[in-house]
Amino acid sequence: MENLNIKRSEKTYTSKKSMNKPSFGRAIWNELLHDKLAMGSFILLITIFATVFIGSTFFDMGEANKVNLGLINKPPSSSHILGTDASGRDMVGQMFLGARNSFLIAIGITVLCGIVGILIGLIAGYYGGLTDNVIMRVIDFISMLPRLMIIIAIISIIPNYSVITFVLIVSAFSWISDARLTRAKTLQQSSLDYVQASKTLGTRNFVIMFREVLPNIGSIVIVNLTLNLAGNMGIETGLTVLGFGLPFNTPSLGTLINYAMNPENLQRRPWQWLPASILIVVMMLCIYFVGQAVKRAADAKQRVA
Amino acid sequence: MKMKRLLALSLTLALTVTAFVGCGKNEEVASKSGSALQEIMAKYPSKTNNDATSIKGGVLKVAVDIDSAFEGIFNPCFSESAFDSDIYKWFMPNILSCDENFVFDQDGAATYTYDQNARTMTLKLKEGIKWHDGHPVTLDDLVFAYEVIAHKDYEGIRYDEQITNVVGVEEYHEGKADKISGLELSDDKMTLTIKFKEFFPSILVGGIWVDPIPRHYYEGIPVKEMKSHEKTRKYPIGFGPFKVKNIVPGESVELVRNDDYYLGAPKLDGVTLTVIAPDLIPAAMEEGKFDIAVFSQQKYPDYMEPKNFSYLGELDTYFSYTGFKLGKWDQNNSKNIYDPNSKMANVKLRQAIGYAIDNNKIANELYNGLRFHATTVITPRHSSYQNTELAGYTYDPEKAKKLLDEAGYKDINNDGYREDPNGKPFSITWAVMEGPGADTIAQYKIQNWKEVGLKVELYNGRLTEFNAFYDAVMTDDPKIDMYDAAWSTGFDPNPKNLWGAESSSNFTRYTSDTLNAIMNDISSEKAWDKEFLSKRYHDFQQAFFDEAPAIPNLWRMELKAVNNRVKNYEVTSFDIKQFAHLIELTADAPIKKTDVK
Repeated sequence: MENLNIKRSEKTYTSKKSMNKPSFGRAIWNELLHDKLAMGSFILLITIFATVFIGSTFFDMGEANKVNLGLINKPPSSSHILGTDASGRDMVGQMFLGARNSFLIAIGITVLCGIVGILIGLIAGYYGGLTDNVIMRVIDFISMLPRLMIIIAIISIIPNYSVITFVLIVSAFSWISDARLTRAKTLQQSSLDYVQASKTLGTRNFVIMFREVLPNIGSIVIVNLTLNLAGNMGIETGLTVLGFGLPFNTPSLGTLINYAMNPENLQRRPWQWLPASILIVVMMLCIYFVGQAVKRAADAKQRVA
Repeated sequence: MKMKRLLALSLTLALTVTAFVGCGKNEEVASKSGSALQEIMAKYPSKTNNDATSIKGGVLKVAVDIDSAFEGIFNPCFSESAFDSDIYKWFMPNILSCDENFVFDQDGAATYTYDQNARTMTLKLKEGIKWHDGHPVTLDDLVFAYEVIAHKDYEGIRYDEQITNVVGVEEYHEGKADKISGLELSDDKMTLTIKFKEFFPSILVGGIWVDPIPRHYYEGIPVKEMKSHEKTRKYPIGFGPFKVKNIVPGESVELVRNDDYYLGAPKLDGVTLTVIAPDLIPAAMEEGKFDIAVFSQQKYPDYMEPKNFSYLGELDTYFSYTGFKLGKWDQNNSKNIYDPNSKMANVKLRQAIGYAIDNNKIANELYNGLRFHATTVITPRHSSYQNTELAGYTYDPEKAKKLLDEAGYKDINNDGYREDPNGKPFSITWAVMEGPGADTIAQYKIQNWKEVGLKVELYNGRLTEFNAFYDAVMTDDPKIDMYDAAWSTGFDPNPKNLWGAESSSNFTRYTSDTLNAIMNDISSEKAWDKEFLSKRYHDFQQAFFDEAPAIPNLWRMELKAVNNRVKNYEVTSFDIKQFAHLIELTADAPIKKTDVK
């Protein structure tokens, strides 16, 4: 039935869809409405993102990162609500800028990997044969590499690295899972009648790929990307905690959590690492709950709505 | 390859030498320098003042503060690690002690006389000193140490100028002689005359090899195998107040008393030395796991008033400095070549950089006053040579700006940073080592320099790992204009070791006629005249300040935490004074924080 729907003309397709089958966005929304936890998470997520991105515009990067030796390790007070760190910097500014950087990194990696992965996955899955073979062997090769070790090695040799270079380095090794998933799904789709029919009618390959195959696998890809977002936040945090993350002047949630590596900070100065840790846990949980709702929306059998 | 060796050598020297630094009389030292220094040092005695009644015996627990494991080469000829030497000094002393100025004195296991004209030094060993296996110690054991180091199969780092300055060592090394001709042993083997090629005052300041190794014990073991032999690693012997009972490689060493010790039987039953990560020391001290441990200055504010332990302090011969890259190392001729066209060659620029740094604030806020703004490159530990009239580069941004204006560095395009005299953008690349708090200091100094309009960027945009840092700085990476390093002078403050025209450790590669003339005087035979020597030291510091090839940043003191049950312990190194046999305890176990109300 589903395939038939797609082969119909644009007009019938849309009208049919709104009657029988809600759009994917609609399905997600219905899911959220029926799952209070997911809805709460969604609202919280939006609020956090908005607060962080709007809030961080009030902080000047240079000012917030200025070392102030007279204010080292001060506990929370009226002038510094979250206290100060070992360099005498106000933790509120560090939190806002750090959270913003971490979010940007997570989103950046997810989007970049998504674009590259989907493109390559589509090409491999759609054309099949030799193209598929070559691409898949390249992917196999990359996935064989010890990803974390190579990222660490690259980070320690390139000069002047920043949020952007960090995103690029991590993405260079992270797109393969997206490509694999897309390729598997595309492979399935491309053997279906509607693709064959479209081909026979002389539609160009790229049009088939992006206007016909992609929308059909879109829901799964979106689910995958949502869940990846949480994981990518973890990559940045993990690397920074290990000491291979962003430079000193670029605060991130990882650098803030890194303060807990020092036993004295862990014992005596929770204001330096606790807020960032809580934020990460909350974010991860929110993304997870929303992701679950999106996942259910993508699969009609699992829907609660 | 040679570079690598030199690197290893200089680093190890710097490391081992730190371990050898001790402190005899703080009061005297402090009175000569700034009041801040005086106040701080007065707060930290060099001796424990525990008056309680001692218990009989007891085992002292000493912390070895390493992140990983100790190497465990317990033979002074082969040991390259300060941690190993800190351990073996408990059971393997040397034969000459020193006074508070690090000059050899007559209180050790041997006494000495010297003859300037004949360029000889005569050592006489006291009677009745025995190795732990009962065999008597003779000066033939010292000769053996020389023979091992000078042997052609020897691969350690001790075969250096200090050893080759002894007549006949090089011939022995090349296999042309089967004995070292400059070492003349008396028939009873208790008197040794050492003949030197050159004889200058530095020889009396830790300038000769004084660690004997037992010839009878190593009999028949080829020099090549000594380093890894179990007699070095598992069953080492010495003639100190304690002897080895058990060694767990890399982890701990258990020592028991040596009743035959020549200065009298020790009061303790034994000593255990155990490895612990420096980060864990504060908590371990509070829990009474150790009696003695080196304490981090940055952790100090959280443990300002300890209940169950107290702090002892000693001034170090350490100083940190900001050096400028001003030339190249000529590998073929082994000397530094100054390049007057280098980027940092303008002396006013260098002085301005010095005046812009607020070292006092770094010392007080970040190191809690346990480091001090260094006014000169001679540390207060060598107070008799220090030029105390020199104010040094104290924080004065206005003066820095004035100097930069004079030198032609002006901000033309109003971006807040100065351009070079030709109007081109000017930025300085600065190499800094990783380390606790290094980020904060680096960032703070960059801010300092920004205040006066200088753009300073970190080498590769970040802090550099220790080995990579020295690799880059030693090999004169052209990208580096400026670097922050540290140096431990050790016993002998002779500036030639670090700033000399022929010193590969002179990473600035700066040489000048004025400095060279002074340094040659300091190492010449004229230097036997104490007044002349002192004057030339003062001249050196003045000239160094004027020419500013480097800006001294901080001096430091070493902080040791000692449990309140320890009696008669001093922070002084065993190289300076033997006192391990006098240490006593006043409780059966280290006092815990919870034991004290």
